[in-house]
Amino acid sequence: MTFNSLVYAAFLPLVVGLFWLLPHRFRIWLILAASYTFYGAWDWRFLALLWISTLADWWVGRRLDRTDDERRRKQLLAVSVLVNLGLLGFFKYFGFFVESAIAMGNRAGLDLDPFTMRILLPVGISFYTFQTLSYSIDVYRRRIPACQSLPLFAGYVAFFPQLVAGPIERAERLLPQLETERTPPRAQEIESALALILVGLVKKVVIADQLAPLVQHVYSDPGAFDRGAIAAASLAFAIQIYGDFSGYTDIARGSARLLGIELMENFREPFLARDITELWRRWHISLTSWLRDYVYVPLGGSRGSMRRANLAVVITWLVTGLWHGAGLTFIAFGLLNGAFLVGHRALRQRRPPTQRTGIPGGVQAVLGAAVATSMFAFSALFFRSESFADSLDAIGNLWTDQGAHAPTWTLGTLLFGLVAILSLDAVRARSRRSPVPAAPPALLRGLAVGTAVVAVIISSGGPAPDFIYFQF
Amino acid sequence: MTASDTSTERRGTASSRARFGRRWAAIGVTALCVLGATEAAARAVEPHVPVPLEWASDEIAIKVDQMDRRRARGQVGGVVIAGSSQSWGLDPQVLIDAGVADVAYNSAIPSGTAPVQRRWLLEEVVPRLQPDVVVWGVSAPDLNERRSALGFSYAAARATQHGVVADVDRWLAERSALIRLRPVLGSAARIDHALRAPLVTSTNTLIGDLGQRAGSTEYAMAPDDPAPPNVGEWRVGTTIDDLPATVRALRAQGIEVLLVLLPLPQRTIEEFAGGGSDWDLTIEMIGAIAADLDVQLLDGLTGYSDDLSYRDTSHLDAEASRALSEDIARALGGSLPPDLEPAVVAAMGPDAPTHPVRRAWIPRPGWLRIETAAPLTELGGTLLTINTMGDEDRDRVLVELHPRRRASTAQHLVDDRWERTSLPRTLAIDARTLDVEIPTLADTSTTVFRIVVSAIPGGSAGALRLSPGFALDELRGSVANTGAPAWDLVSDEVTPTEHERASLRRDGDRLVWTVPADDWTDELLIADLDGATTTLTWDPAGRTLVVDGAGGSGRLAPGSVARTDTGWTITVDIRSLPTGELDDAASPLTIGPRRRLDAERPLLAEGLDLVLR
Repeated sequence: MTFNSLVYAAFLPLVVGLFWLLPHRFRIWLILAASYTFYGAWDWRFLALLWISTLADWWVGRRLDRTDDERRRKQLLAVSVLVNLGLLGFFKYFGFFVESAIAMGNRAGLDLDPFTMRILLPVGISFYTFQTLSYSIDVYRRRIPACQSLPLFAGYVAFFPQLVAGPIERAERLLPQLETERTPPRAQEIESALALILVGLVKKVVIADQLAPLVQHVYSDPGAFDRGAIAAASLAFAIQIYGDFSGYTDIARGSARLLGIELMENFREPFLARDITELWRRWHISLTSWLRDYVYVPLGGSRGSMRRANLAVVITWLVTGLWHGAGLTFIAFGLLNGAFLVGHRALRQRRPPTQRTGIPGGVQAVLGAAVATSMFAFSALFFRSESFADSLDAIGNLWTDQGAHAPTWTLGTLLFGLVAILSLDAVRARSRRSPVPAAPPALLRGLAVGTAVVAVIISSGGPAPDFIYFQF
Repeated sequence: MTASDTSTERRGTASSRARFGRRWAAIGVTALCVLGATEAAARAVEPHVPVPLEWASDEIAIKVDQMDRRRARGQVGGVVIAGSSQSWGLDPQVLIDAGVADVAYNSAIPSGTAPVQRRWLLEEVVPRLQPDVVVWGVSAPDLNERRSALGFSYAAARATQHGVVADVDRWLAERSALIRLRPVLGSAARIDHALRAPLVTSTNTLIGDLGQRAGSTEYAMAPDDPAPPNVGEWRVGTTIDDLPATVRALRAQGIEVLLVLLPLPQRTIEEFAGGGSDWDLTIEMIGAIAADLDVQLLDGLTGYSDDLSYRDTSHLDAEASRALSEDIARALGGSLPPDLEPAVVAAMGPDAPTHPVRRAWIPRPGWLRIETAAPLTELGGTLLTINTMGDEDRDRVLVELHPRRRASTAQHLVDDRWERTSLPRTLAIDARTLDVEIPTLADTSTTVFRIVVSAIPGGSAGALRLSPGFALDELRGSVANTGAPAWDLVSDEVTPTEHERASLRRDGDRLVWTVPADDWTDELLIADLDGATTTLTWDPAGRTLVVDGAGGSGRLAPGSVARTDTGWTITVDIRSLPTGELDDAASPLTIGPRRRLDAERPLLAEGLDLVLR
């Protein structure tokens, strides 16, 4: 069941209606039933993995709470890490390692039989394993108390709006909201929740899905296209993945808000960022902050020497790449962005942001956003390529400008996507800057709603394409 | 909290609710106004945009229409050909001529994997045609679960969607232009296509009356044609289960099934996972399924390993398709046991009376001389292969030559590796004798040769002769299936002038085809009618067809004419047309902008089968 399906359009009102009809003590059970139904609609067998992760971390948390023995606590934390990363490793990386081992063996002269072990990747496994892992680490660090209620903890792990593609919520934020009795949302909150859902649908269906054919066309054989086509497709993919992923987050946040629960913001207008560092602070915030807290900071963060801090950045970005998947393309994506951030840090040290450049602030902001977005789009080239060889082909053609031109409709589609996504972000950034965010006038909102509904109608129709981040 | 506070709060809440009620009503009304305005706009532009397809592709839409018409005419029963690759050229007429069926139809749809074929056969073909026999050509790619492009679009098409939501969508589409035009308005590529008025025709939708694709007559696979992309990524998965399930469902309806193992060229097979092991596995699995179901299985693999049997890297060419069709006819007629080796691609040597090669010999070391029964210029699509025998269990192509291309290239298999060679002095054409210099013949120790010349008498060399009205430099296009620019293939030296077929000129917004020759039979004519109001005028006496786009956008591309009796096809893409005078036309027939395929039926009375794309 995906957010952009009509089944979900029926599912959500049903759950929301029942939620507010039921007394508080039954609501967690409703959330659990709804979440497992939502997740089981993909493949009910994968519910077992969700339960394993849930039970393991619930048990670890309670045990951690009961002991002060540091050695024992470390052992318990190791159990959580092993279970979660074990699940993740097996389902996400096993195939990659087996294939790599066979390739290396064959290269070394060993005649290894290729065998294909068909391992399906459970939807959302990277998200919920990181979420439960963060819970255990926080209990271990004594930042939060252990959750004693299994249904409550299970609801935290499986809360359907954010189960399959985040945001990766921390326990200290979501658990209390699930535990305490929620008051029904006021009319203004309902309006904002519905607006979020509609904007999310527009981002996904109208923007991301419209760009998908262009991206697919070029990236199905990137070696066959020239510089312009590859640049256009890479920028289109950057917009596509942003529209797709932030659209999902918007719908998740809107759905949760209808249940009286606030989920964290996962994106804050990243393409309006002035530099690549700021862009990444605004992109997939729940993951980047997770990695900051549980990888970067433990590695020393920015506390040590410049060299050590840079190493921590690169390692963190290597993990970011690997989190997305096993493959050289994701590793390259992570390392490249790590290099970008290290380079940007060095640049800032050489010329602090406060130093005057003589360029007007507005122009600087636009130029900065363009450069940052271009850097992101270039790194996304690796992310999107189906193989490392494909990404090298694409880069080769970027350099040599050989290959076919992009289809004639590319420019229009790309411009539409770019203008649409930037407009939505500009509106949101403006309302964010307003000290007292006010709902727009009814006429304006009505026009926007009507236009959005028309756009969604025109852009949909077939089977709803999955959200890109479901594969992670 | 006092009672007064509570009362104030309630009043505040009620007031707030009323305020939001009014606000939401205003929002709703405004949004509805936007929807209404958009619906009105959609109705206004509807005549000017392409008619959205109800089906996944033009070809499927055409075949559905053809099947409906056949059903209306009572042409049901008989044999239905199904599958994916079979759409290229397996000719139902062969089955009719062989007497194995009074009625036959090729329902194959390209790129149709087993799950798509299952739905297509059971939901669309069988209910319409009620066949007695289904001949299902199966190839390994059809069973690969990762080859799902058509599967996705097939399921996404409005006509084939299942469920309440789909029913609602169809109901809405009948009433709302916005919903109806969604596939067009939501596609940048289609809008672009409509705006740019591309005068482009495609051979892909040249469908003969029996469902066969026209224009499969040319050998087209170039030596360096790559195998289909992603072959190595394909995997046999659960999609193979649809094969036995479909066979069982057909049999449950009393329909006999003949499975045909369709071949692929060796270069494509080698691209499968494990250097072809995945292919072998698939073939074994199909065999096991056939044995398990006790269904007749015709082995179409043997005899087609030669690359020269293919029109591209996936599909048999016309010659091989015809041979396979004849095998199928024999299998259906009971004269060919299923395990018998199928016929060879082409007859060999002087003992084959119908074959264009009279004899071939080596007049001196390094040269091969071939004497043909017909003038070489009439042997469109002539190909030469020399296969060594004995090295391996499969034939190995040594040389390919393309006489119509003046033998500009050839390829040699050297140590299992293809090497392309330029042979400037290779070819000499002199009436009925072909001299070919083949360096490997000078020093090879191979003593056994198998010489195969695939030829299409009266083939497309003649067909390529265009009338003087055509300026070659105004053509942008290709001859069907060759992939080569038309002007490369049109040559006075190899093309007899008496083969003039048709002319095309432009008169304002009108495109006028003139068919001067008496022997012309209009079996299929295709016009792209992307525009709105369009008038088609067919004048049987003057043998002209006028396509008038003046009333609409005028985006017309009547660039395809096919003659199926001699098996040739011309496809031209035209950007600018010569101007000239238009004869007075008779019997105007107007095609309205909203009419669909059935709207063109009146043309059938004139002997034309017009297909709206």
